[in-house]
Amino acid sequence: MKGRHPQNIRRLIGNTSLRMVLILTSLIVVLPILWVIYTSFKTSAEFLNNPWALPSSLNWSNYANAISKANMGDYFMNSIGVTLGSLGLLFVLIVPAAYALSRFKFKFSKGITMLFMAGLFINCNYIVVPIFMILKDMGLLNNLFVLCIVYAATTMPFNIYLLTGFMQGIAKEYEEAAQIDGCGYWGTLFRVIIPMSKPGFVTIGVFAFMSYWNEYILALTVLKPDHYTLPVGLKNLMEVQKFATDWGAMFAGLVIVMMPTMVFYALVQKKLTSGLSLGGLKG
Amino acid sequence: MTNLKKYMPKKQQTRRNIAITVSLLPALALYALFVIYPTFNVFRTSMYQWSGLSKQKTFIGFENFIRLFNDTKFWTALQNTIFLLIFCTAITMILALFFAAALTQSKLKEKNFYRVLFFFPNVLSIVVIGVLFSNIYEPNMGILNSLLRGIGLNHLAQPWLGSGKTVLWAIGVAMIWQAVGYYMVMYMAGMDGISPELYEAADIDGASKFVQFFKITIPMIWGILRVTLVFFITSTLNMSFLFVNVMTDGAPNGSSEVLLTYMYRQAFTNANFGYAMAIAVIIFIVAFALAIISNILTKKNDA
Amino acid sequence: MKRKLIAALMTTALMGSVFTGCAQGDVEPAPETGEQPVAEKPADEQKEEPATSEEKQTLDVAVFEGGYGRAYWDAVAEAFEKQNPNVDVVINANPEIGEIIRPDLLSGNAPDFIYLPTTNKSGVTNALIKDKLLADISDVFEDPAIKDKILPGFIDNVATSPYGDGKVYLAPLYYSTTGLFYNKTVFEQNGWEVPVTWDDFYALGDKAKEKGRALITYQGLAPGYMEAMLIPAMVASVGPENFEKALNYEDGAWEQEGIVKAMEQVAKMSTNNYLMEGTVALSHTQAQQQWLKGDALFIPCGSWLEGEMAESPREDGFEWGFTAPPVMNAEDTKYVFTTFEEMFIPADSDQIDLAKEFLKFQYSDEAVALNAEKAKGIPPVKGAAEQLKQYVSGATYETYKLFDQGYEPTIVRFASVQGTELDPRTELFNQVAPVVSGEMSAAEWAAYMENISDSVRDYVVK
Repeated sequence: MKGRHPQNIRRLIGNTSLRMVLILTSLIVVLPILWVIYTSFKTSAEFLNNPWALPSSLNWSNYANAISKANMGDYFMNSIGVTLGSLGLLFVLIVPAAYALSRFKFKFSKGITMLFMAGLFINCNYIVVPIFMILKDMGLLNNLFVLCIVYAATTMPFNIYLLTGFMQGIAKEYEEAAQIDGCGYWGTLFRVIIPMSKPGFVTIGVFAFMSYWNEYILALTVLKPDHYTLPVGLKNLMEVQKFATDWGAMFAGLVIVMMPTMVFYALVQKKLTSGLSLGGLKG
Repeated sequence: MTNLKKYMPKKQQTRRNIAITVSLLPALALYALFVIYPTFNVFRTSMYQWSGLSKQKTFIGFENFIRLFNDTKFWTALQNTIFLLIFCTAITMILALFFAAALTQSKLKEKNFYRVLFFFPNVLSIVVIGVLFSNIYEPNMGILNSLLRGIGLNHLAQPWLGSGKTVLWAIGVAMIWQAVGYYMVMYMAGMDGISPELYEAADIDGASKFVQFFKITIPMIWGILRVTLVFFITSTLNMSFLFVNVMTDGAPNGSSEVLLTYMYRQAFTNANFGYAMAIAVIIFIVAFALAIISNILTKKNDA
Repeated sequence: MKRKLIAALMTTALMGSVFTGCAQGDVEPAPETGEQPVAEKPADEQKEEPATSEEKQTLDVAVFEGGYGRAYWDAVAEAFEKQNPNVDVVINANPEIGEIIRPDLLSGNAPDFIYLPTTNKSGVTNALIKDKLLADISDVFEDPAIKDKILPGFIDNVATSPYGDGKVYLAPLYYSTTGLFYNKTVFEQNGWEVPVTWDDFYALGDKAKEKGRALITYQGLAPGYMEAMLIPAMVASVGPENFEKALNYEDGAWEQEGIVKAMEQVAKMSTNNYLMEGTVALSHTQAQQQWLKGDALFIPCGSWLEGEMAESPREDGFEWGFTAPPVMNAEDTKYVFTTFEEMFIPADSDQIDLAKEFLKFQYSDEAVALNAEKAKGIPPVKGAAEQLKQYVSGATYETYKLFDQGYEPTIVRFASVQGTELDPRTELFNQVAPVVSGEMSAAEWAAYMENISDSVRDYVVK
């Protein structure tokens, strides 16, 4: 009990220096983002004179330019459609698959699990060229729904892996109780497993949302301008910018791309935390 | 009802098998079509000479690989990729673990605020981050050099993205800036699950925070660490591609070329698809080998 | 379409909830079958043209929307349609046009007419050249009406007939000359002469330093811009025939004394802070911006620079000046590196004859006038520069009139290679950064290129 006092002091000093480190890190994180946001209100001339100064006035025309000149509005809608569509598909695919793999032992269960595990090493960017060739042969290029399928398919291994982990963590007793109540395979899935995996869904959903929203290599490869998603549209804007040097519109484009994910993240971050704490990541 | 199970095991079995098949089939079919088959194609095309535009493909066996091993640019790209893998993995893991442990242990009131804040870079598109850091590193007006000159360290100001000596480090820092928060949140989740009694007991034993970190925290989240390590390898390979693409596109003189950008250049700019796919094969091998190595290296400590 | 998609997914979700009922555990569930993509058919399938030639003919034109914009193409399509009432010209213009038409080319559904420079980063044009997928357009340029109109040197060069068989496959559209841009006001204020020889050039660099300005900067991350200085220096130094040997990877051609000497002049930038600090790390817009603000006297670039930087802030009293790159001796033949952007007809086009008519139309007085007005660019046609005069400033006009002042165009193109991982042109310019940073000597640069020559010699497209 006597040692208590100096320990508190040490703790106080420790906390203060920790706070300094944290505040410094926060600045490193936040300042660049703030810079993008306020730069999006500057005219090109202002930007070129001093890229770090604050804007003299709120120049909303940058946003008008980004939306009208570069079709960012349409691209925004495309991005929403692709992101939600891919998310929906992903869950339709992985929930039954993870259920079967996590709760049952059958002939090929080990083999199939291994097959999906192997997919953890395959990023869609490694295989974008052959994917493009396949879609070309099937005449399915420039199709947002097909892009959703490809997104869902290529992100499946990681998410099945995560979800299997979550589902394995659910105690057998719940399942048995459901079976006593007369639930069969599907009944157990929808009555017990799905409700109990909700935190896991949140985690998967959030990360999948971010990756679908921000993906651009595949989108660039298979889409044409009438169906571009935002990151590709932004890249397109940068290409135009190279010739027109409209820095203001480009930064407005950057903000249009990053805002939804930031807002979305701000909304779900609490649920995300609880989802992650389930230890679903245990190998 | 329950004891019916005992008497009708056969029927139960078939129903169950049908249900399992129905559960797995769609996922497996799409996985086969969009992951396994393209992967197979990567390996097959690596044996051909093909411009990607014509129908004319010539089988040339391992010739693409022989050329590859004599191609200094390929070796540079491989070296750069491995450098980024090691540099980014090490620094990101250390920082993420430090912040995760500090935030979990310190019981600061604003703990959650930092958790949310530090994760922020991770929600940004790489295109956004790339443009951001290109402006930070800009040699004459960029904030980094302005800062260095401002505090009298003129000699440290560099053309960060223009010199072969600094370009990879500069890109690596941007990648770390983006990744730390993600892994920090992962580790915090793991650490939240550790029973506080363990730390209380250690406190009573007089163990320092430092010792507690290595004796309690690390072993308790070892499983998560191992998984994130494997995940990090694929992710960094991929991220290095996006960052290099947006920030330098391999400049100066291939100093920042990584395997995936080199693959793209060969496929799309140089119309050399077979060669590009040979590079992709190497990427697969590297990713797989590193994952296995890291898995073996971390295995013995796994409880 | 997206709304339908979302609706389909929501339906699926609803259907899913139906199966939550217990005791009917093994109803055939298959939630995946719920959303067959009826909603989404590829949009481009609907655009299939009816190929009845009696009725309206459609000409698919794919154009690169770069510095010259797309306004010209809309105008020229309209003009062409007016002359040919049964033709419908469909313009598809985009900065990423290479990526956009790549799938169409692969699937044999090629556009009929393409304007896409070989320098475009998509590499599509080069791939088409390598695969010999271009239509022979020699007859267009045998037409006397066209033949006599084109400026000398623009047809019958490595760029228009890439296989050296005398047949023309690529047609010149926008041409630009390149050289060094400077701020006239600064030269007048300090009483400086515009340098003619390399010695003058570096001597001026020493004077500029006293005034706190670097001698030169260039578009560091895009070192290809150095072609404006390096190529004329090499051509002037060894003569066009000998330089041609280097472009065709003849043994020893890159280590000719003259080429090394020209490289030495460029390498001299690494000394005495002639090169603006940080140059190697700058993108082309950044470098051009800093030059415009007066940090360096010269920047190598082409006719398009003034238009590209039209809205960028600049030093007070700035006035555009343009000069050709320096030479060894004042009496040497002065070459100007000249480029043009290509247009061509894919061999797979099903409207080759119509496309050729459209190509001829590009050189008509009407089209040239439209181009001067809408794009502020011109094809290499006699008298075109005069058309342009009213739309551009004096400096840009000068870039087009150099040939009247004793300068000679040099149009060079590396011989095409196929099946090798090396791109010789990229290799040449990628070494600029180490050379101007003093990490590589001129002799090493030449030796490096000699090495590249040896490696690609067997892969030249014949």
